[in-house]
Amino acid sequence: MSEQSSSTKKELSESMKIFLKADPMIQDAVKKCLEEERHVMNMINRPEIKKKLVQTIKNITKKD
Amino acid sequence: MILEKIVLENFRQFYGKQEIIFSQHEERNVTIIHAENGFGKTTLLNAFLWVLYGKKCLTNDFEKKDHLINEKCVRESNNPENTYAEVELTFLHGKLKIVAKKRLTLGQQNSKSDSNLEVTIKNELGKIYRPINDREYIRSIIPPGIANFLFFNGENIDKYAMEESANDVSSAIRKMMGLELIQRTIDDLEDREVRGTFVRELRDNASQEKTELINERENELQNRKKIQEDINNAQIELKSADEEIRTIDSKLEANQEVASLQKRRAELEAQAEEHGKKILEYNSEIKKLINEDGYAIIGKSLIDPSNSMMDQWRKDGQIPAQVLDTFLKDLLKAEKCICQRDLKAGSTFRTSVESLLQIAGDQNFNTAVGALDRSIGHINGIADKASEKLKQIRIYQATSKNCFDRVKEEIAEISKNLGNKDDNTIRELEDRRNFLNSSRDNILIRIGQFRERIPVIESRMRELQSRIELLADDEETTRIAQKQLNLIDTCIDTLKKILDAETAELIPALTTEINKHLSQAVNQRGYSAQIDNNFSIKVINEQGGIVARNQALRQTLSLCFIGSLIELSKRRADLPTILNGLTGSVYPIVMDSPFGAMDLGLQNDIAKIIPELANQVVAMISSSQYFGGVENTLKQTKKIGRRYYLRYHNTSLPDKKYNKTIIIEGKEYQLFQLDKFEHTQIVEIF
Repeated sequence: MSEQSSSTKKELSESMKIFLKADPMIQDAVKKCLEEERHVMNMINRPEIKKKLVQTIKNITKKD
Repeated sequence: MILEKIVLENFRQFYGKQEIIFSQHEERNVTIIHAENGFGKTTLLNAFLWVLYGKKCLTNDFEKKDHLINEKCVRESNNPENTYAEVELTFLHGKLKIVAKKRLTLGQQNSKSDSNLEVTIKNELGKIYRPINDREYIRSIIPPGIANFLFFNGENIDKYAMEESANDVSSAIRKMMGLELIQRTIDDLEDREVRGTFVRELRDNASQEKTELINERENELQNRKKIQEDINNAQIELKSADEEIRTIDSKLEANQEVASLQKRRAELEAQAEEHGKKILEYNSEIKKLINEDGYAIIGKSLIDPSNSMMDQWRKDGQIPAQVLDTFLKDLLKAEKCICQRDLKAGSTFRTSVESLLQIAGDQNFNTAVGALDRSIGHINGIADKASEKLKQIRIYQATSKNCFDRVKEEIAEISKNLGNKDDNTIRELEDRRNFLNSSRDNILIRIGQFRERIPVIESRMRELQSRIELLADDEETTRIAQKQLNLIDTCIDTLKKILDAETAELIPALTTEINKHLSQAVNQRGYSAQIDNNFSIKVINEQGGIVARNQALRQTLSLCFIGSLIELSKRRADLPTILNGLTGSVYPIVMDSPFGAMDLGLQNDIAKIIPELANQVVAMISSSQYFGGVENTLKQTKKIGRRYYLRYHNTSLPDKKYNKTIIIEGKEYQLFQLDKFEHTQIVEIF
């Protein structure tokens, strides 16, 4: 491992390591669900969020 | 969020329309509101909470929550719809100016309903508009969960520095640092409308056997949730018992007759807590030792006889093998001994060589003897070392246990002493305290029992999950449904791990911030703070010992904790997080009686750090807390940007024992004014 990549690895936060260790499909789901939640939080339209999460999970599995 | 002004109209004792404009100056960031006890400090604090969050978020010490409209207005009202109390809070949020307004009419007050919040937003171009949902808009800027850290009574904040407040501390960190987003995602994914949808889809399409397993697993999941709820409820009960014990302790500490006893008890209880913790740590060490090396200690009773047998065989020449069987077999095959004697069948020499085969061994035998020797030696070494270590730990544990028992005896003695006092009030307080302590023990036992059930349920869930996965899905729809459910479960699990990691990673930064504040506040005492992995905050002295925390020190620590959270929240964008683009937020602090139960020395120390706690600080202080050290210290900081005081109007003036004026920077101000009715006036000083 080069010095640079070793130092990059050091800078990664624990949560980021957990995220990167996950299967790409899980990474995709985690990212999209968080994005949906944040979007909904900002748009102040909470009741819609659950439908959107169901759709997000369905879309990801459809792609596979 | 930067506060601009608050306008109160007929809100409790604040008759008519009155306003406070807050200092927004970067350097002189403190607004002081001088107010004697009973003049309206708590009402002012609650005006912020009411306009932002409504009736449900008012503080516990704010009495008659259903009577917010000024009494004179109520008395003189001839139309319930035209009689009202109103609070309007104007603040800046980034480049937006936001006005939150709440009006409660007498009609609404009489029907015990709450009024609606009205929010208007003015952007940097001067355009004024309304959000889609006023309530949710305000909550997205200042979640109600963090309100307790921004608008608080200094006398009630010591809980964050308590051992049992780990949940409050971790929840505060999560809320202030924006990690609630992850928690909300987890909660929504676990919801019956999300995860439940996939479970239903799978159940509807699966075979009967699989459906039964799914149902069973879902039942276990519900059981797991129920246990967690039971634990949470028990923790709420525990917290309430702890809070009441703390209130009793403060009352006892304030009573001159028993103050020293109570103080001593507080010290002893802190010591008992530490000894108790050490005993548990030694228990864990013993468990670990037994787990890793216990086999050697237990196996010693088998190893010792084996060792004796080996020694005996060695003495008898049976081990290691003196002669190898391959060598003898070669001689017999060649029918010739190395001494050139014939070893033909039936010869005496052949019989002699054949008899040697019984004591001969092969090379493997000798290798095995060597390995056995080494293993016995190794195990004996481990057993001796482990026995010695175990002995040591037991000595330490016994010492801690002795200390624990001694301290507990002294605590019991103090309790007995207090319980036998002539003073009824003291006796009653002590009786109640004993009752609460025994309830506390029962709650802890219950929590322990609940926790023991969790791994059993989780193991059953894992087993069911494996069985579900083993059952093949014939239908494509079932396969997809299973896949979706797996995806959502793994996603929830990953988010939970991320949330724990994010929270844990904030601890070092938070500890540094707390110590920055603490060193300023109590530097002469040489204290420092530590937050352990369980989110428990400790104060350590220069010798590394844990400092017993009285209420004053807990308040100091809690203030430092809140200030640190606000500072970290401001620097949120610089801290490592998976939540890309999570920007920090600026929050003010509005505090009633910031000096709570602190002694004069500590009040002075805290006064130094108050302006540093947040970008904007509003402090409501009574004369008894202000005049003396605090006044000079705050003056020296040169941080006071605006100053008000509350003047009490009434039909008669108070008797002589009350101060009728306050002197601020050489000028005298009247605290009381004769009037036709009772109310409070907000007076601007500068």
